Amino acid sequence: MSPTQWDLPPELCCRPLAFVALTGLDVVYNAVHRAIWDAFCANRRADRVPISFKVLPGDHEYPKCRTKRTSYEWYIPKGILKTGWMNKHLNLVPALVVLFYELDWDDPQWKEKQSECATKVEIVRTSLQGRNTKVAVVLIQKKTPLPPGEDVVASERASALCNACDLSGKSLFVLPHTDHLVGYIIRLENAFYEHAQTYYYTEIRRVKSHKEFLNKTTHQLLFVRHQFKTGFFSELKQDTQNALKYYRTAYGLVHELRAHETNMLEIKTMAGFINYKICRLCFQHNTPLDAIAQFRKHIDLCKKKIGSAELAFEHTAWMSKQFQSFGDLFDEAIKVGLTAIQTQNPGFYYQQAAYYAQERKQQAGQLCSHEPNVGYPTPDPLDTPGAALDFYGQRAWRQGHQSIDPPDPEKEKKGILALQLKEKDIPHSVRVQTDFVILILFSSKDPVKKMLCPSHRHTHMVQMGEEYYHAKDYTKALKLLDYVMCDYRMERWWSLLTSILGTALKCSYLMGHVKDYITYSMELVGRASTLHSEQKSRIEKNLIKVLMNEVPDPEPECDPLSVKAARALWNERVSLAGSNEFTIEVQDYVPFVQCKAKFLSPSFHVDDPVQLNVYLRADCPHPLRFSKLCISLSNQEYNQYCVVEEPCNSKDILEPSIQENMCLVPGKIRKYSFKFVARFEDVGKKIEITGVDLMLGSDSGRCVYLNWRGGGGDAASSHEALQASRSFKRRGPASDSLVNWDTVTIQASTMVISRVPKVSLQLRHEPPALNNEMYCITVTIESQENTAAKDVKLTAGLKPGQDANLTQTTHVTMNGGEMCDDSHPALLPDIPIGDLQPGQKSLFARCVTTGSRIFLFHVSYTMNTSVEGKEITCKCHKDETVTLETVVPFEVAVKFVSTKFENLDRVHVDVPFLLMTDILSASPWPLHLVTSQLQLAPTMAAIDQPESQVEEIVLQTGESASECFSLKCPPVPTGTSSIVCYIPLLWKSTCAETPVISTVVTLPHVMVETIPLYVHADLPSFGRVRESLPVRYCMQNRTGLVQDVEMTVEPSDAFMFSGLKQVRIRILPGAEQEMLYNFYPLMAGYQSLPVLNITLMRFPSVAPALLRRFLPSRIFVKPQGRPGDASIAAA
Amino acid sequence: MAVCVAVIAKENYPLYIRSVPTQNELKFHYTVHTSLDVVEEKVSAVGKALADQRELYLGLLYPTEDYKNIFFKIKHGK
Repeated sequence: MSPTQWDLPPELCCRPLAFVALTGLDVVYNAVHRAIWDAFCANRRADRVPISFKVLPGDHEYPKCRTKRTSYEWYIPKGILKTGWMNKHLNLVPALVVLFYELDWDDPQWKEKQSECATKVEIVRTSLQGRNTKVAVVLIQKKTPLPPGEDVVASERASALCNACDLSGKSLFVLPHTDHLVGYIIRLENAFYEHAQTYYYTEIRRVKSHKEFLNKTTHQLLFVRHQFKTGFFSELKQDTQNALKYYRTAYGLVHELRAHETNMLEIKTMAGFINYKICRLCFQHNTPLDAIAQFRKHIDLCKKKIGSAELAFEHTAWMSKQFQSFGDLFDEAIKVGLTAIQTQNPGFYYQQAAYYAQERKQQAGQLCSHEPNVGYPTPDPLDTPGAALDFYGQRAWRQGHQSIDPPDPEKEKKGILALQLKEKDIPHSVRVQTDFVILILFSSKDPVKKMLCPSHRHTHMVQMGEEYYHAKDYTKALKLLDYVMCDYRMERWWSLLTSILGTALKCSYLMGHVKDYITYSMELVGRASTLHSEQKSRIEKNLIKVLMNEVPDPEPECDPLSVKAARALWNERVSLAGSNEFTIEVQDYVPFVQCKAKFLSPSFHVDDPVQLNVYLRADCPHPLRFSKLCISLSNQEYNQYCVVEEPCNSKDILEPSIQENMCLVPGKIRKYSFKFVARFEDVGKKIEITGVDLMLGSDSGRCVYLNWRGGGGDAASSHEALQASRSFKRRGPASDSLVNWDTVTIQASTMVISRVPKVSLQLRHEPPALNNEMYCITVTIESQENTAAKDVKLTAGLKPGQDANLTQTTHVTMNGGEMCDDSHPALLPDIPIGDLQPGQKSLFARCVTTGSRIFLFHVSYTMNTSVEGKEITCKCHKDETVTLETVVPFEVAVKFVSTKFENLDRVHVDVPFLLMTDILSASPWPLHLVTSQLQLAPTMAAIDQPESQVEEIVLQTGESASECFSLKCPPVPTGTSSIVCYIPLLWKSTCAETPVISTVVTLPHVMVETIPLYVHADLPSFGRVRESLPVRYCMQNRTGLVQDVEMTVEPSDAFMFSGLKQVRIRILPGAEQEMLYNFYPLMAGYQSLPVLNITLMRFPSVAPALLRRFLPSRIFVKPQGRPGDASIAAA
Repeated sequence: MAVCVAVIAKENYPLYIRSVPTQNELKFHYTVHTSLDVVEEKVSAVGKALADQRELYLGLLYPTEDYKNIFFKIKHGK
């Protein structure tokens, strides 16, 4: 019995094509015939009609047709469907036989050839005796035929030939052998196709016609057979809709058959065939849901039809095949464009197929375990006289038997025994059976992968892994299981993980893989395992044995032969020296020891010892002794301080005393504390725990390092921590010994930070600073250290990182006696101060500023101290910053006025004017003005020697000091220009001993103008009533031109006057003209002088009012004194 | 008859899983695990609509050979 017994026959699975036989072609020796044949069979694309052609000799013997049955009355059918039937109609009985014959219409030997052709037709007809097969004749001609009707000879001879051969006109064809062969062939085959369809139609009618003779009691099988046949003929006719209809009826009928143990297999076989046809057609019609529904109906109807209990494996094999072939159909449909969904995809059916294949193996194991002395029955009951069975699904030893009871119980028993032994033989050739199952699984892997359905894929991989395990291919099994294990672990499906781990442990045991064995055991006794405590206990004992370099007990349910081999392997391992040290990275597992390491603080001062705790908890059922715990840190120099070690002998491993430090008691948390002094170089650096290693076993036996990367934790711990934080309720303060495991958090890194400085840094100063002032900030550094602070250095000045302009405008110096300028830096780094004894203080810093900014004072020093009895040198530093507001000390206002104190917007060349300055103190402190100094631009001249009028003046806040200077502009070459003056002010703040500060005040520009004529008056400072008052007006021509000047004196009520009242004079360039008047005051008091109007003829733009500004407008007139009035005379 | 009841966390791990005591309890676990992809597909396909309508019944997930898997989506307030 080959494994392919359950495969569907190929004639069932193929697409039925109309069968047309071609005769009279010599394809071997005749090139023309060869070309014709090639045109028929080569390049048959989908657009060609569905025909399968065969070349047969002209005298080919077709299958004989049995004599037609005239009555079914006494006929009892022997089975449903003959095994040869489908093949017969696909490949043996043609729908049409075509005779090819070379004959031109104008052939000289026409008569002879006509009769030869008729003879050939007759031969064909004879061999098709009784069949409805059509016969057609094709004349191969060398000449291109004329259009129909034009060739009279042709039509005559054609009808003559038809008569001779007893053919209808429709069955005679002409094939001109010309250039367009393929075109003619296509037309020919279309005509053949029509004939074939007619043939199959008559066949369907013929089969249907039997129905009236049948009765339901004896001919049940025939109902199914006839429906199947009409379905199949419909398919050959390419009428798939009707075919589906007939098959559906057939399927209904096959389940109406009286089923009993003897015909169960036949019914199921036929039901499977018909179901396959229905599903195939449904997919072909693009109605996949119908296909799925049909298949599910089929499975529902058939899955309980087990048949003989002794041959139950046959049923599961059949079920497996049903699923597999449906999966194939589904997959096929997807390949041509059907879209599957996750709930409906081929993978699902392949998976079921695999499931049944496994089931079959189990059943075979149970049913076929005969005693070795049971021999195969002779004669072979499975031997059939012919090559194959007559009917599908029947037993070889009772073919055609259709009653309920087997004809011969003895034969039946032998037959069953033979089948069982054959099935047993399959597992004997293990590879065949298992590879078969794995083959199914592999084929099922692919569509699932395409569907991106991870959990389905995982289940497949588990099944495959287990298949490999059963096939004793442990390496492959482990590879698959390992892969899935990771995912189940991540997904926290502990029950599934445990089941796989169990298989994996068996694999590793049977292969003698020590490391894998330890790894799997470690997880199986841990908290992720759902095993019972007895099982865990057993595994842990085995694990301990392995640690002691002994052979572990075999895993239960292992094949005894394999166990024997495994023992040998283990013994070998034990005796092998070396390679007894293993490191297992447990981070990605859920090992039976949990580990969490934490630094007690996120940072430690360099003068404090760094402390870290390692918490260990074992989840295994028995106490466990370990021999070493060591922590690896990022700076390996510290590793030596983080080790607990206690070599143990074998006895300790076996019977650990739970009091011992190195013993992990299940469920109890052990805490190991480590302490070390950080190195001075590590200040500012991070110390990280890179790993924790726990050594199990001993150097003498076998030692296993469990290695946690970082600060511990494993595949499950992060989720557990999350859960704990969610459900954590505030508990009372846990005592140190009762640590709650979930609340322990991993802290895998810490910072070493510098020692807390014990110095005070005091700043004494009086803000705000005045602009440009030498501002004094006194820094007092006081050491509170127990020992001398050495190497004290101060960095003082503008804090770096502020506005770049501030750096330009801030200068710092230590020397208060000198002024700062641009050469001084903004920050004085590392001012050495030397050693500071405890309490000692000193240091001044002085800074000059402009603006407002932050100052930084940074003191660093080194000192020796001892930590845990170890002398270390510490660098300490302390920073102090201060924000300094700077204000302007005073404001200077400047104005230009005329000698008459009138505001001037411009000054005139060689005309004196006054410069007035107001200094307004804005300083919060009294401001001591030392002196001021007027510095004139070369274009400006003082009328007399200017002296400071604000020397040694102290201005309180808000007070102001004023100065007044008389100035004159010398003639300038250009007509108008501006001039600049400076007043450097020297001042100091009165509050501190600071040097005198010189502030330069830049005076505003003023416009200078030349005037063409300058006029001034000489007159006494006062007049007296009725006393003559001589006045002289001087007019100066300041141009290089001769000027005509008209001048008038307007009369005034207060004066009488003598002199020219209206005159026109000519003044030469640079010359001066004097005009003398005698005024005679009439009234006392301030009196307006008679107005002098000067009109310049050459400069009409110069208004008389402008010139009038240079002249006095009023004069004080004293009343007439009585004679002898001394007081008046004196005034 | 219900043969297996499982409560699955939204991260797809089992919170509770009980089945009728049979030989092959593990098979139910595999079945539940295998259906999770389908659950995910259903939830993501109609997730929003379900949330709005408070329709928690996910329906018959898919028929296996012998069992029917029916899922409910359960919300729990926080």
